[in-house]
Amino acid sequence: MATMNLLNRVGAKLATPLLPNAYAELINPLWGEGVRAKVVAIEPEGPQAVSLTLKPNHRWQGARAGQHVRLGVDIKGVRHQRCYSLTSADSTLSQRITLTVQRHPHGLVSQYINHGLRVGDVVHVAPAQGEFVLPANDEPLLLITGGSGITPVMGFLRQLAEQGWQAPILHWHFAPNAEVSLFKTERQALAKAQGWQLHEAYPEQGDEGFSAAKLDELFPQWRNAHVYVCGPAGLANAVVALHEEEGRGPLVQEFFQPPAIAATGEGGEVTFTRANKTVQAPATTNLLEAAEAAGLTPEHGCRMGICYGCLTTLESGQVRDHAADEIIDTEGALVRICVCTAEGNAALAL
Amino acid sequence: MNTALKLAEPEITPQSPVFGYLNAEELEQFGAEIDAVRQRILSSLDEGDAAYIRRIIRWQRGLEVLGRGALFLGILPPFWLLGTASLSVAKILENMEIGHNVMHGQWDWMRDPSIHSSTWEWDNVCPKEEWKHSHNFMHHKWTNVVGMDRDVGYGILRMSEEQPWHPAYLFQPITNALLASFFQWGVALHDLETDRLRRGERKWSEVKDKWRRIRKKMGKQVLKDYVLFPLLAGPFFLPVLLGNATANLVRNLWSYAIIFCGHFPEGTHEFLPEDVENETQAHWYLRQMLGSANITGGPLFHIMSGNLSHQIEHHLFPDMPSNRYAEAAKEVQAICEKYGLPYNAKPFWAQFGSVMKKVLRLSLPNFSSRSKGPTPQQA
Ligand code: FES
Repeated sequence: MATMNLLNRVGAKLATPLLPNAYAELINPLWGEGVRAKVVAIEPEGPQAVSLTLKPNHRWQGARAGQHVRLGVDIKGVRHQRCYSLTSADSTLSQRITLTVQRHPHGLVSQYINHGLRVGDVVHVAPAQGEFVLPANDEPLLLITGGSGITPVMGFLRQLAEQGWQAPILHWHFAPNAEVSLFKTERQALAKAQGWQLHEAYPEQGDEGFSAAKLDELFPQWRNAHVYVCGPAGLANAVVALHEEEGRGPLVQEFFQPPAIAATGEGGEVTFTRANKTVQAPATTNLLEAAEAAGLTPEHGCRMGICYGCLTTLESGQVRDHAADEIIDTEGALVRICVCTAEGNAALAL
Repeated sequence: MNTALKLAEPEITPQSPVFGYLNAEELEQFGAEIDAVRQRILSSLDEGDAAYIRRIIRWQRGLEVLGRGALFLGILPPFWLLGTASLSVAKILENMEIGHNVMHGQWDWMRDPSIHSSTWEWDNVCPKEEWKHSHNFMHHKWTNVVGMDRDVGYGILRMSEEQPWHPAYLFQPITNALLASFFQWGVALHDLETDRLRRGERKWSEVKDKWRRIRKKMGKQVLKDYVLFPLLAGPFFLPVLLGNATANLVRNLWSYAIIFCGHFPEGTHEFLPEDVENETQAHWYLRQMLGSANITGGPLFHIMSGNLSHQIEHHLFPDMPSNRYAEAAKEVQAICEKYGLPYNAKPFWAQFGSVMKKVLRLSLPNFSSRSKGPTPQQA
């Protein structure tokens, strides 16, 4: 260990002003700066999504099932970053990870991952994050998912199977129809082999939606279960409301969609004081995107207001926080630029 | 040298040729056309450009590894030559086509944090912060404004008739040769504005932090090139040391030559502080153009000069990726023709010779009341 440290220190002195990895990258792109991963497989996941298998480099710290990573890909020469839940079970340093990306008609990144990315490409990965993880002890679990909200729970299911979970589980999944229900075959096989309850509902095909009565019928012990929910706002809100009234176990929610930015605000002129740049930011463009469009690379994480990885000092002016639905005009306030838009002029310490 | 540059001295005649070329309406049209070139090129950037800079970076690092590797066998003359040449080219590429341009933010649009103006540190004793201040701000904003752009003579040379003469300038040919040989050190100390410190116009306490940063960077660079790599070569300490020193010298001379060709050949304009009061964007464009000179040459020459051979385009569009300057140059030249503006582009030896003549001529006092450059009447 001590010799490793010494080697690193001498290496840095020799490579200054760069680091030795800048030269190692000449041999293998995976040895460059930061956490990177090689795409080792791309497989279709139903008609509207693909699953990626990634082999991370030596800087990867591992992840727990249910956590998410920020993936960075270069599209037309520009780095774009998005968060995706891992669909793999707990993984350690050298293990491969998987994630699934559903195509959105106007989603630049999701379209690229579905159509442009190739096996062998190297992508950028930020360390795994998130509190949406399984409890330490085997307790009854109620898992409620909708649409692509299945992805973190898919990681759970694989982990639970690996571990041989010793408590009852109900997984209630909503999808528009059977055809687009992600991982259906694998989930059915797992449930059968492990003796879990799996209930699939396809509202488009006339299946009944979420209700307290139906839940009682499917899983009477749910009140004492650990509840996990990940899905569209309507579904998630209904589960949270019912749990608040009757649930006794903990509830964990994973958000997978940024708050919709309604064009209610004003937009305005935003100044990034450190970069000394001023841009016009419309009411529908969040400040993180506005900064990126100006060529800045602000620190960030989830891009949906939940990780606080993008907190930036508001130096003057005012912004509209769409997650909290409020206007912030306190000088020196720390704002989540990924969910804020300009409300008149504003200056940010970026 | 304590030759103060007093700008308000009465013998300076504020004769600005800038507007001699264009009336107000033409100036605005000219500005809009230059703007359109910028917009068109910047909006067409794509993966091809990203691949270009990454390819240059790979070449630069590969050449550096090759150079340093070959120098370990530098006791054999062919290896010493190969090693020194590769390392020289690597250092030139790193400072000019990569470092200088990345620090201008030319590649920020890629949003790759490892090729970004906010993080890039270059292989040069001048720290990035000092460089960005003295170069990106002072020089690019106030290009060739005597007394404001400190690159006019770097505080030690007399490069403009507007700078008052002093007997110390008689030694200018020697000072100039020293500046060229130790260019990176000159550039590093540049932002301290030592001439102003000596004259008491700037307090030592104001620059203490800068000096600390510069010293630290100098220490790291010296340790690498003159201690660690030579030591690593064991018995071949000396050839490695000499190779590294030569590579640094070659880089110094080359970057000095290219940079001096950019603004000081005959025909480039100088300006006075009153020329830039309340300056509009179009006026700034015109001034950048008139104050810069291009060097003609082949594609490899352009890359080796960090595309500063397209100094005019670089000054019009400092944040445009350098690989696009050649393309911009065609359009800018056409616009200049249309408006009857001079476009100073000549081969290297013509521009460099003209700069050296100026260095010699200005070491002596002004004999005639020469003008600062060709006025439109003369041109
Ligand atoms: S990026 Fe996570 S809160 Fe903004």
